[in-house]
Amino acid sequence: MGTIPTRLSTYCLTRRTLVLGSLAAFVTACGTTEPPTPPPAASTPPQASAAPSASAAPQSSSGAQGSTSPKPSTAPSAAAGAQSSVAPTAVAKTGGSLTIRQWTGDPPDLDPFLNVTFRAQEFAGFFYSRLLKFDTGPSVQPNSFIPTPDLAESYQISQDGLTYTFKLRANAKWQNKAPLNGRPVTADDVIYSFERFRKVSPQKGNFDMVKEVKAPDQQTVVFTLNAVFAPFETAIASPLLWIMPKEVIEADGDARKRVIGSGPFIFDRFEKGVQVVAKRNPDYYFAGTPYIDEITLLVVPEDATAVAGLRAKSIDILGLSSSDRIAVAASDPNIKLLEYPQNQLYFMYWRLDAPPFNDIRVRQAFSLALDRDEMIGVLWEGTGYPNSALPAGLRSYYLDPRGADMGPNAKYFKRDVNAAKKLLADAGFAGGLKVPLIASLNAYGNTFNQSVELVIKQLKDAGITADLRPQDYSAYISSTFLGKFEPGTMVWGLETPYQEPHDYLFNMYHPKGGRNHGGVNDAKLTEMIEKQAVTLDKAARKSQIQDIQRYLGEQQHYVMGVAGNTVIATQPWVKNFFYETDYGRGGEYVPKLFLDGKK
Amino acid sequence: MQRYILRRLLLTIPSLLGVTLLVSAMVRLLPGDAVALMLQDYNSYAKDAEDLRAQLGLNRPFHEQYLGWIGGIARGDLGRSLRDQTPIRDELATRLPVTFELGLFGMFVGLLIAIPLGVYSAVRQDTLSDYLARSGAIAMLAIPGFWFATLAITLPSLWFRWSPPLRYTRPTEDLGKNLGQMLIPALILGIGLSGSLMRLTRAQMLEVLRQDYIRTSRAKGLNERATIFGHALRNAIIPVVTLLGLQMTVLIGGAVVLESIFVLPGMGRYLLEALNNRDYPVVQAIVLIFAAVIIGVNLIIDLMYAWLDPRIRYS
Repeated sequence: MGTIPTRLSTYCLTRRTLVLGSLAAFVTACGTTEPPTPPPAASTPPQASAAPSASAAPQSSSGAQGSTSPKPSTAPSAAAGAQSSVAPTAVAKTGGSLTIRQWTGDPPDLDPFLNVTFRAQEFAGFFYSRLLKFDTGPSVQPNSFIPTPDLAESYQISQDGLTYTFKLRANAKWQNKAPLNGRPVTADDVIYSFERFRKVSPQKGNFDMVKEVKAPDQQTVVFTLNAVFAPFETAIASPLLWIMPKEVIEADGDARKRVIGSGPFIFDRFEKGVQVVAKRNPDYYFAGTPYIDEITLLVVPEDATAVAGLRAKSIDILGLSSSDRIAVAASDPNIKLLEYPQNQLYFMYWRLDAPPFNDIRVRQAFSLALDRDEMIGVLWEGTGYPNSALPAGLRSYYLDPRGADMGPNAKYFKRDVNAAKKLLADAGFAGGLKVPLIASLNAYGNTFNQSVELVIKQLKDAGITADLRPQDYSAYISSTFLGKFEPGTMVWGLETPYQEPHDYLFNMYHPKGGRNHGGVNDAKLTEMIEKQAVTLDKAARKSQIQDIQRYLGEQQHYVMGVAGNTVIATQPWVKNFFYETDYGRGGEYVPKLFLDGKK
Repeated sequence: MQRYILRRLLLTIPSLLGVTLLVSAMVRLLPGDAVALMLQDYNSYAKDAEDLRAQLGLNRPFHEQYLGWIGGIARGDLGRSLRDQTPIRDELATRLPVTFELGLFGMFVGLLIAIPLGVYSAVRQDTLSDYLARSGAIAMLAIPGFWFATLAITLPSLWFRWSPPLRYTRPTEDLGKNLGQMLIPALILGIGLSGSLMRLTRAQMLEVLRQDYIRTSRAKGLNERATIFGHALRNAIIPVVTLLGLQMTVLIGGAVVLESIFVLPGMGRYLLEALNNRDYPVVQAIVLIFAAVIIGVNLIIDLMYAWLDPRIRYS
């Protein structure tokens, strides 16, 4: 089992030192040139890049595509060696075609504002820009979710944290297709997109914190918030607020028929149930990228078919399940495997307002009964991480629940059956406890189903009998997952992956959270969650978030399991592969890829 | 004959209405709905759900939703997908030919295996060849198509670093390539179909071969080929043709699985996705089409009886 040590890139530290010395209050973080590793064949002007400071507001950030700080303060263990396993080569080559198994089913809609499914957002990532996106590069591990400038060349946060001013790139142009015909992307386009998002998107609630958006000039967009919201940069970088083509939408009513963006690729065609094909955008504002002329995003429903395609060299990039990982590693040594900690929470939940789970001792007993090492061994082939209230994949904020930093509450994450029995006895369950266990067994795959069996077995050792009641996924997601289940029942489930700790903490633990499965209403915790949400100082906020994890380690409102590694397979000719996991990754890691040696 | 056809066609209307009503109700009885699944796909907040339900008309009573959809059908409009808002008719126009081709190809393969094998097995009753053929038929019935399909996908990729094409080619683009792509799934579909057809062919042939008129034809000195194919098979085939009509459901079920494994963008995949997404109008439309096809094929088969056996009259 790996640990997650702290790591900062040397380059980042150097830049930060220099900038700190010269700018005093305006602290900017590390920047890059574009591209981060091999320089492109076409020259790209190196641009300074900066990101919010670790200490003070106002903050500013600017940069070209590439790594931007703040760097994650934690990085995965060697076991999850991630990006280093696909080290860049010296010279980027242009041309070629790349095939990715992107989906198991069609993106349902080509207009990302009109549909909430992840496939629509993944589709959009290849063609549309965002003001910010998430950084990728050799020093950035997947799941870091570091906001970095995209369409915005730089941005500044006001002293009071209420105003975010984005400066757009002067060279940003719409793709050269009618009716846009390569005209510049302006602040009006951003405002139009934001207003349309708020009007038509089922996700419009994600920007409730925005009071108004203005354009003082055609290169500047100013967002004013109702109240300070520390994760606002992440909200802007999240694959939601795409900059959409006004002319197309006004003519067609939506962006379903014509896809014209300012992103790295130009839409060529969508053959339903088969593929999306895209060509390189030669006018992309990160000059020189993308390197690849044509990409094909395949729709392949079955994993077995996709793995066969990988072996037959018909697929260049493919996500693998744990079992396929072993099979591919054994039979295809040339295929490279990128592994990194999952941004996923396997966890146990219940109604906190009724017995027996309104008793903290019972909840702690359940946590003590779990053998997380056995889970890692059985479910994840020995490579995995115990989750705290945040998943190990969210490395920038994650606190190892069994590490020294966790403090005395680390003991609740280490198996101690006798202590569990004693706590149960103290709570009035000396003879053991029998509880119904809801789990959806037709949604999350074999590993999850095995975890259910393991949980039942481990609880049994502590005198807890879990009476399994499998639930169809659709029923589960529309009832149990929303907290609609009988008090006294426990649930073993999987949480929605988020890019921001706030989203996990607010949604799961705040009384107003959309994923408050157990009805958590803990005044102290609520205050802690609200405080971190308004703390702009990133170091202070990180400390607060880790305090929350320590507090939750004791409270055990939900009992957390373990996370394994996600595995992405690439053919040996795929170079500069620096992956990120958010749905907008098509505009993040793909433009930096190039091919070397593909026949 | 015309009155018979007209009567059968009129009877299809209540049948289809019944099927759609039943399916519309049953699919809504399934737990969850399209909105719950769509929102789960993304990091959305629960408060957006009711807005989306209202936008999609899912907050209306069942009878309103159903009657609205049936009204659309009467106007030739199959409705729109809840998930992507695209017209279902457009989607079916591209997907129906794929499933039709796979089904036809599979049926052809099934008949090509079943009829000769059934006849051969009957003619060589109780010989080693008969035992082998019957065992083969049992195996065809017992082994599920998805297992064959998974092997057909996985083993060549391990042994030869080859896999069937992952991109579907339409026959209008490249007929050879298209047929090559359809060959393996059609073989698997046909093999699955052939087990029961072969067994019935054999059983019918055995019965017919014992009839007096067969003995007479042989006594007249008619050669064996003419006796078997000219007299016996034609009389034995009617129940087989009936079974073929009933096997349409097997073909459709097989297509659902095989289209997913072999990446064929047909109706089966569309139905599977729609069911998983609780996309009610799509499920209803596809079931309506499948029901119409099954009814239509069985009507055609009923009409074929008269051609196969001139003694049959329709009134």
